[in-house]
Amino acid sequence: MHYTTELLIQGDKNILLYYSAALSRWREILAEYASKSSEELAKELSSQQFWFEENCGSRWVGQEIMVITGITQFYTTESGFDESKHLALKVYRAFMQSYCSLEVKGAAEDVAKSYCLNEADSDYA
Amino acid sequence: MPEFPQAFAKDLYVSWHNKSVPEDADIVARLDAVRLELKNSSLSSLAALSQLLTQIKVFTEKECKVRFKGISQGQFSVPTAQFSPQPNNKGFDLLFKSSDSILEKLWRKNLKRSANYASLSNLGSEITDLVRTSVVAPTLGHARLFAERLENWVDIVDAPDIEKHLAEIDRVEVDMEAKLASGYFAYHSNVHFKSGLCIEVQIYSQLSEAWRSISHRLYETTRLKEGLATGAGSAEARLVSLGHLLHLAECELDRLAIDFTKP
Repeated sequence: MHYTTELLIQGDKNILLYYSAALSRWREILAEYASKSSEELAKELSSQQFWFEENCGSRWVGQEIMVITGITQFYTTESGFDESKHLALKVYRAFMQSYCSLEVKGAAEDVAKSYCLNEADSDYA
Repeated sequence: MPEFPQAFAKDLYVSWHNKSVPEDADIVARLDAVRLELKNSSLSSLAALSQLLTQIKVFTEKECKVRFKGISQGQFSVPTAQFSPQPNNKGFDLLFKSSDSILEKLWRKNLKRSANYASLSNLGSEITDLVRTSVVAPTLGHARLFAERLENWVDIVDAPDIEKHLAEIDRVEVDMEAKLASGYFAYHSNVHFKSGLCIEVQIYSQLSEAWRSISHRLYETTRLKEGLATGAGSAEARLVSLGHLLHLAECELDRLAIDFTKP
């Protein structure tokens, strides 16, 4: 989350626009893939990475925003992931199954760890 | 001709190497150059390796969940961000064996030779861990499963994905016997790339990682210097004992996990 924090501290207002655009994009993606398997979502994410890089700042910050928005869109500090934990896990798992860049996968691991999103809690059945 | 130093001392060895292997003259500067070249030329191979290890992680975690039936769960930690050449990534440099470590290994290789010395001309074949990384597993049992799946990677990853994302990888060699390395047990594998590059991947448990992190400095000291106290009760002896105790504990943990998951 280093790139986001850096822009916030610099007072770069564009960061809000980047996150807003990213959330809209994620809603479009999940409208089609929320009910599909993580393998199918993974294939889609491999090509979506470029959209985030182009529309959410630049390469590195765009990748970071893609991951943070993707996983934490289901989280509130009041209720945690609540009923949407399976969706957050699906997005995390899809990142790891995808052929997104290694920076994206590294960020996905960091965010999952930070939000205590443990694959061991998931149900593969 | 300077005498070969019987105990490792960098300056003495460098002097011997420069004289005895004339084509390697100024070995220290040349090693630094080799290391820099390796860093610049291995980026795409590291990216491919990261993708491969991530795919094996996802596959093996699913399998572990079924096999261990909820006992001794956990996740594999595979290198992802560490492979990134981003300027703020300090871990990238650690993937490459340091020039001092290479010199020490050359010394060990040449200690009992009188010809055909290990040198810059055969560095890649003499030292296979010039680039190395690791996968940390919840237990040694998980590590074994990961090693087995890594060995069979071509049957696990879809052929179109291999062609598109992992085409640089030539073959993966896995030693399926956990070997003692620097005081801890690990599965060793060498990932060979079509470019000729070889990257060593060690697979070990979280317990081994903990032992490794506290012992690294002491082990290096023990290995590089003579005259340290190694008798009963010394820090070095206790360290080795602890490594063996942890290994025994891991084996017992795996046996218990098997017993508890029997139908």
